[in-house]
Amino acid sequence: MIDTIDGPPSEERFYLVPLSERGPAPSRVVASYGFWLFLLSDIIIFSAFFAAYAVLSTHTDGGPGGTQLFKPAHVLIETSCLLVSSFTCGVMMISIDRRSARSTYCWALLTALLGAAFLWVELTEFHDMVLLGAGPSRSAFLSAFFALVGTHGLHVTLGIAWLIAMMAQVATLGFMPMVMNRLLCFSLFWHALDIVWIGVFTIVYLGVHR
Amino acid sequence: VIIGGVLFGAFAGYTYWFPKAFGFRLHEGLGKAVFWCWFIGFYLAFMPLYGLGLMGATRRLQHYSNPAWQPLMVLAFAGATVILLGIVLMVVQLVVSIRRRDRTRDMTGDPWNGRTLEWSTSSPPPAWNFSALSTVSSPDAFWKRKQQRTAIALPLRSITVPKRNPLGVQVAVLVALMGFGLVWHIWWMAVLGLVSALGVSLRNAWRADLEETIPVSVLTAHEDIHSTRVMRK
Repeated sequence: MIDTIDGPPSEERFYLVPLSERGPAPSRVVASYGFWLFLLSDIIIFSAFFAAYAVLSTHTDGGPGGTQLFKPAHVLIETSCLLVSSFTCGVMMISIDRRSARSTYCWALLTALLGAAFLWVELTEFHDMVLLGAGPSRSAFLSAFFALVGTHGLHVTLGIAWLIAMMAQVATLGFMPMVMNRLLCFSLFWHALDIVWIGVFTIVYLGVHR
Repeated sequence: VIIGGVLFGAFAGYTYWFPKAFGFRLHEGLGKAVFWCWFIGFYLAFMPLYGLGLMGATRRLQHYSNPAWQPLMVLAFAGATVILLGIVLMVVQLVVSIRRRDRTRDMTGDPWNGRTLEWSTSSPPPAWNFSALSTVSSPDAFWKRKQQRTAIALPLRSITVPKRNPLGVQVAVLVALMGFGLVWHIWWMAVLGLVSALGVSLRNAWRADLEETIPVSVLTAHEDIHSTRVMRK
């Protein structure tokens, strides 16, 4: 990043300069662009698991299928938790823009708790399935199911850990640009997980009634 | 396809950009010997194999009982030997080039009278690559600049660059440890790899001095030395 001699340009002046003469982009643009590339590569992983699931969802090997295993009430709770947590994450970003630490902690706590509630319901569901003898090694359908839904759950787990680390950063370092960039990336990550869940909800849980 | 399409291109790039990355050229005579070994060896080894393919041979046989294939197989083996000689000569070329680096030192940053912008900076380039952003108005901007004898745009501005950071290597090693543990069910190793990878990442997350700003005085000093060397040529 190159600074101008009289300090960095204001945002309005920045956009008046033609694109080819603006020089390197601000660090938050560079950071979020790099993070978008990561998210796209993550989406590719999920696409592979979605494709595998689409092919294997009927291959139950005489074992239980989705109709017997999935509980619509649980899925409703999971989906609500994640969608509301996306909203609270958005409000957290507004608090961060206003540099309000206390409000940031509150909304971050709410986001993490909703994420944890989602995980709790999901893990309960996995636990019950394994007890019923419907673990990942039972059939190709269940291997694909646990791979896809489990990978999403792993992402939510890491997201919660990341959010906790970021709140520790806000507490110790304050709202410095480095921390703000990371919070921006976190919110991109969290919303992307929500989009992937919409795919899981549609293809795995709604697709079962076809 | 791989040798003719990918490998030859990679060898060309290795020879072409070696001085930009390391500051000295590779030995030219040995480079030409490497080329002829690979070029002749490639045709000698693979053209007979295409013929053999049409005669019914599949790839990677550990045994064949058709005596009609023998002459072409021997020819292909001769070609493979020539390629092996090329590989050996590449290693020799690298060793000789490093030992005689003072004779092929690239002082100007532009050993090939290049057309593109990477040759406008010193070899090896400084941590900030370019001291000033070039104004590019046509393809081959560096060539145009040399034809019109224009200097780079001044005044220079201070440049912020990332500092050297071992985090990437550390995480790579620790995550490899975790992967190995997971593959072979060595659970303590998997946990150790994961926890230490998270640990070094978290420690790095609290470092606030990840970037450094190169002051104009350093940039100017670098450009002065570089332009003096270019003039001397």
